[in-house]
Amino acid sequence: MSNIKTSKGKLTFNKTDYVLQNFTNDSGESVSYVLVSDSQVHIGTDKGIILFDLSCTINKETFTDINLFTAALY
Amino acid sequence: MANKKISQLTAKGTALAATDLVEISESDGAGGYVTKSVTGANIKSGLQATLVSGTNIKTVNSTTLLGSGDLAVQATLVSATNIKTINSNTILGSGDLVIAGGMKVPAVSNTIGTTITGLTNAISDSFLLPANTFSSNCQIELQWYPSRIVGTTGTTQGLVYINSTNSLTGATLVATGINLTNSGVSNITCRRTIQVRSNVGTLMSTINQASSDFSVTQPTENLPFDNSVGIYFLFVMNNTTNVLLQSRNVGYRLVGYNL
Repeated sequence: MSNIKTSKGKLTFNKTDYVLQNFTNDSGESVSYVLVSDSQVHIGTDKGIILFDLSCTINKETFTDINLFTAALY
Repeated sequence: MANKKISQLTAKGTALAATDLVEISESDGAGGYVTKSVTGANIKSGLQATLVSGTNIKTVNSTTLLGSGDLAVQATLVSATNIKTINSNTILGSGDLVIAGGMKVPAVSNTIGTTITGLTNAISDSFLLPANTFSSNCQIELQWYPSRIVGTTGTTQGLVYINSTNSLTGATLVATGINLTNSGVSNITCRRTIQVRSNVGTLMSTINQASSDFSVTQPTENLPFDNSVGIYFLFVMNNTTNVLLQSRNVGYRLVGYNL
């Protein structure tokens, strides 16, 4: 299981650092993330929009709810 | 033999024997000569041996060099005279000839991808763009063909992600195809152009739904695209609002140019 490590506005995944950034969604709104499904979320970063899902842990913690998972990223 | 011309001597009539003697005048190094004899063996030892093809004279592509007439060989290559040039540049000489331009087609498929059923966002098809297929500065054109095959309500989209593995987790969104809302079977051709400069891609907004990038949209300018490593292209179907929806990707094409 892959782990996401969070730290002050950024996260590290697979040895790559991502700075969290807002992006403009399809409705023209500036958002930091968009839920894709019950288990997936699009996260805005300096390296594009990244898909994360519940198969990942966040700081070694496991999640079963995508809303709680997303909240833990920020 | 005194007072006889050499033409008056009795002819030997056979080949020189090793024991025959021949009279010679040897230079004394001071302008004079000393009369001496040499044997037939002495004379033959200074001559080149009879040439035997493949023994003491090489062949050319197994063809003997002995005999009369010309040996057909290719004329010396002269650029633009008997060998063509490429864009007015000679191809003669050593080293590598770097072709900067030229289209590459590393991926074309008409494969019907895995059918994705229900409310999910999952990989229908994928391919690996091998490392170093393109340089750090290139232009890539991607087409893919999402297909909605079952469902009377709801929408489905064909999305494209890239990743270092054949997995959606941690993948980077490249494109979001337009919503397919027609009931029953419907297909769409989607297209994106990616301008890659120093391993970073610029393209239309990856999150905005669109079939192509011919219309005016805001850009995405931070897509990591490092061609020095392999890049998986993931063709993903995203079904929404109807658990009965089924969709799949039914082909793709990627072409590019090194710049």
